[in-house]
Amino acid sequence: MKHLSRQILALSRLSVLDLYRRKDLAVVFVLSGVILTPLFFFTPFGMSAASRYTNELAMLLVWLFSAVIGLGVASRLFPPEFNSRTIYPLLSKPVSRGTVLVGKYLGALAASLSALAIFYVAYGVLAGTRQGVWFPPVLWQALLLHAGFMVVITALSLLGSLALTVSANLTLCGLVTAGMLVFGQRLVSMAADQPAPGRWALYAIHWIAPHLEFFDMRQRLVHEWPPISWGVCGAVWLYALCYAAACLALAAVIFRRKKF
Amino acid sequence: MRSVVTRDLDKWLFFGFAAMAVLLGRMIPALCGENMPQTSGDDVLAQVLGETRLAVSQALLEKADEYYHGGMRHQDCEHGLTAAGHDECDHGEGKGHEEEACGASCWLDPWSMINRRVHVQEHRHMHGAEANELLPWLWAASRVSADNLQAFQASAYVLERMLDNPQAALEMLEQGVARNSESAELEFELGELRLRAFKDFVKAEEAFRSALEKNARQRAADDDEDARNLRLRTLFYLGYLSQRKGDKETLRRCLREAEEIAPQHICTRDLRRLTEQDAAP
Repeated sequence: MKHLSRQILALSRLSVLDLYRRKDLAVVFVLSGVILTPLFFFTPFGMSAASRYTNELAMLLVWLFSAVIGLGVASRLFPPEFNSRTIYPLLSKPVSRGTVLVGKYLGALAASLSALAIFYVAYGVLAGTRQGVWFPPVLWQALLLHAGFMVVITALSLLGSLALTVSANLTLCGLVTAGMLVFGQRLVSMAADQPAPGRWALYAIHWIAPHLEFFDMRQRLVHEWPPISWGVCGAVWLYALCYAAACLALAAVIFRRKKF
Repeated sequence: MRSVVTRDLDKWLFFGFAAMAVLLGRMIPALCGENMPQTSGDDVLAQVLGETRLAVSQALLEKADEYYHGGMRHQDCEHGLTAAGHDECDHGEGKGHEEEACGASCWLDPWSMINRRVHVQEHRHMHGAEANELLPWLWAASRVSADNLQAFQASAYVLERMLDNPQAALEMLEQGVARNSESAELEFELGELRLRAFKDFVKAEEAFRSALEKNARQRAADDDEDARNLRLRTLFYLGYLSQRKGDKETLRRCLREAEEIAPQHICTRDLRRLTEQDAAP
């Protein structure tokens, strides 16, 4: 058991190092600064007390960049190994394919979560300086659910990376993520308005597709609504773990059958 | 030899069709005149961009409305910034909507149940200084398109009524009037603001007279309900200001016109009351 955890830890460490070596985070921070800095000095009608619009834009950037980082890191775990054939020496070591898969997944997740933590600290400081409220409970809950989002999308992207090319995987995962964040809540009502074949397709999407909108607490955070109950929070996390486990199980089947 | 003939034929056919296209392009507008589907005046680029700017401005205004409702897009609420009334809400805000919306069907569809718990289902209204949060969106909506009259009206409402800054509201409406010289609505709002917040009767009367001129009598006589209501309200204010000055002739003229447009309208009744008060010893 100790041996297995050491193997997983070594594989995970590589993914984290890869993210920080590629300077993605630095680019993201510079871009956010360029977008947000002018807004701090914006005083419409000579009145400067408004802060929700900057919070909303900052949260939108956090979501956008965290999705890009999460999908990007997870989708690049295996294809370079296959292309450069470094997968052979890796699998020739006394390490099972399942361990490689879990180790790489946890590495991608750790890298994404570390970036997410940095984003939320930056957001907390930004909102605190403008509003005088430092890290309210709803912010912690938003971070917790956002972490659940990362759990799901990294698993989804890892599964895609074993079945599709990098660009196809990124495009498909990006579309699923954006589509579910925008339409996820309305799928049932949209299905009810459709004629028969479209209706059943939408119901199927509703039941099968990842409900990434569960993890989106931007509305509560930006508009200062109270936090949700911890029971609901737990249910959402349970959903995230089950969905990620299903994706990883499918990925393990594909990886086991894969011929290089 | 054959290929040279074919090439020449192609060339002449090309020139023939090009000449015919040019000829038709000149003839059709001349023959059809006003029946052409395109609107005259602006070029295509200005028309396309103009429409886009108005659409973006409307989207920004809807965003402000969403902020007013605590981040909810609430189309059923009559108390939005873009709705006619801006008054206080009397339907229990933030109470029990979650439970109402989620009945027994929730247990059959856990995904919808989670969604209803995570995402806010009820709405609330902004009050007082909190309305500062609306200003960036309203500012942007009015700057993106000068044609969006609602953006000017909503900005003036928020600045005057919610943030108690009538001076900024006045400047906003004056900008709106300057950029929409045909708008009777903005002139009317300007008149109301000058009367209500500044008690400037002279300038208010000027604005109401201007609103009356811009809101042509014919428009009000047609089936344009909004134009009719606006003209009646303008007539009422002009009648009221005339009564204050002791100008009985103008007051009677306003009443006469209001009775012609809608004898049972509340503005007509109020004008009648003003005339009766004026006639009383």
